[in-house]
Amino acid sequence: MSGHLDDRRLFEALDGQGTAHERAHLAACTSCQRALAQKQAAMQALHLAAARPLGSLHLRQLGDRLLGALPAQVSPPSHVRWWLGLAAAATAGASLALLAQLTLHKLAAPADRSAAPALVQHLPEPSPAPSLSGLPVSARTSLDSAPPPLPTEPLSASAHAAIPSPNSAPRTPPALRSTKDLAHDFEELTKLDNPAAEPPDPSDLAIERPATDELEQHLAQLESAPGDHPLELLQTLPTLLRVAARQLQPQQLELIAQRIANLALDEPGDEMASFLGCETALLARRYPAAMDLCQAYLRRFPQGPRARDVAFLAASTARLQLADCTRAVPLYDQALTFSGVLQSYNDEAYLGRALCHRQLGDLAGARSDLNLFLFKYPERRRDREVRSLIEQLQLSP
Amino acid sequence: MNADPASVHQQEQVREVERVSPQTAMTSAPTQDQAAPLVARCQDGDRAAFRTLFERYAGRVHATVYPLITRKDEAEDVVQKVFLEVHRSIGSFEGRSLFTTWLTRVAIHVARAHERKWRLFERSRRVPGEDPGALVVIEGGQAEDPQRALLVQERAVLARALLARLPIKKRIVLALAELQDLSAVEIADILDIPPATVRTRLFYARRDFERLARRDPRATQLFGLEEPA
Repeated sequence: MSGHLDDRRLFEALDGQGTAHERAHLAACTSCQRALAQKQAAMQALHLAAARPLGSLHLRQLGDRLLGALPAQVSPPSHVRWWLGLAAAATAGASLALLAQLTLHKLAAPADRSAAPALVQHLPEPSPAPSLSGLPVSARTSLDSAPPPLPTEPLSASAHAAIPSPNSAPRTPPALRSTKDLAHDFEELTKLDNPAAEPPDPSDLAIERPATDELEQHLAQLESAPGDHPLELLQTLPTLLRVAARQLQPQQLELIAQRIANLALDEPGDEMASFLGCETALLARRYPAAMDLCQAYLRRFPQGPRARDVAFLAASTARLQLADCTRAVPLYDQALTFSGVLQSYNDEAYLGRALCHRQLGDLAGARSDLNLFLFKYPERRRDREVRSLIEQLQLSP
Repeated sequence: MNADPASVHQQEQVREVERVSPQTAMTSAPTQDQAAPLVARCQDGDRAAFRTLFERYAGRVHATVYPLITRKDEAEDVVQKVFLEVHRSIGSFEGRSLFTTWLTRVAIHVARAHERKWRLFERSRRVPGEDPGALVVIEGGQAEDPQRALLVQERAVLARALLARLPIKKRIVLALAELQDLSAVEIADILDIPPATVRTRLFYARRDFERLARRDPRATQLFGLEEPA
């Protein structure tokens, strides 16, 4: 036996532990001192793997994104959930029993009861004894007051319903646009790029026909109140424009874009208005102007609540419409800066950035983005295309 | 007067930490769970409180998950996933342990799931014959051309790559002990294993990390280590 300290004793010595005998040996033995120094250097190297602290601004942005993705309600504790589950099961069971009872009565009902209202005639006679379902009579009578089925409305009404009346609600800050909206914007952006590829569906036109009228009416309302645009009206403007854009000729769109520009939406400090300026220009296919407006937004509101969305739309525009990858890459970087899990369009951003990297000759960057795409979004519709691209890149020198 | 069992447990926990590691207890163990009022508000569905909770503890969660995942740019994704999970489960937090202990447990769970998914993916993408430990390449363009990277960045990338080669169980104890400076008792509480197991696992983790580093020519050069005899 050599008497040297083994690995375990050396690591303990590193922690300041060990017996007096071990410490004495360590003080005298150069071999053990050397081994201890190696362990110390290895542990110092390990500390390089620690995370850098997150900046407060970064944290705030992460928090914004997180809160936007949270469900409205906190899940109740598990013991509460158990009771809720039981209550739900009991309610469901009672409802089923009641339904069965109604069905049985319906089958056995004599023909001369048809004069009574349909639901009432199926109910059993009130009885002091508990019914099979155990429900109180009040529960049954609630069936009488059940709301009638909604009248069938023409499909176009749904588009109208989305537009609030200017006098209907107090001026409240608009909600942030959902990622679904943004994904839709992106779809529209790519569709507008190549309208011939997808002929309009006649049923779509049926939905959209009133949109041009609605847009005109909406714009007229905004123009009639210069300098005091209700936010609700402003917020619905891009939606209306998006729907109407597919029916309008380029010249008409250009006129509308000009009218929107004349609304002086870009009031200083108005983040929402600045965002709308960027988005409406995009939808009106005024791409160079849209890029300027979007980048103006990003300069003025780099930490704005829509900064990522604007960056993504601008990056897509730079790549798809202006074929300018040098401009697109930093915008994609900005769009992807904070997290990838909560945004539905991030797969497109990774793919777009990869294609730009490839175009700019950065094959390693392209491979990295494509691998990330596959890792994060293995089920997305374009994964075959991505795999094919990766194979091509691996063959590249 | 009957004491609240949860607070009794916490006091016992604190006493145990103080007994085993007085230095750590002085610096990190509170006498009561300082997060309790905030957690209670979160449990009542207060979104502003959840926001505060996030801002207070996201850094800690980031520090926990960062060494456990292979891709450092995934760390923020994992932090968000952790807090989504916290939001989903906070109703079931009963205060039997410190909130930070519970949070770290959730963070480790989410990071492990994420890492498992990444490992499976990475394995499926690996070219036959490629060194499975060559994770430095995954870190991106900087590592592919070390000449361009600053020395500090290169050392950090290499340290992370070496750490990523350890099995996840060893990585967890190593990260909690060395990078978060938690005691064996605290780690045991988080991982729900005996402190003796933590110490054993920590020893093997440190030893393996050292061996990996000394067998890596770049590591020996960058960290001033000697190749094993």
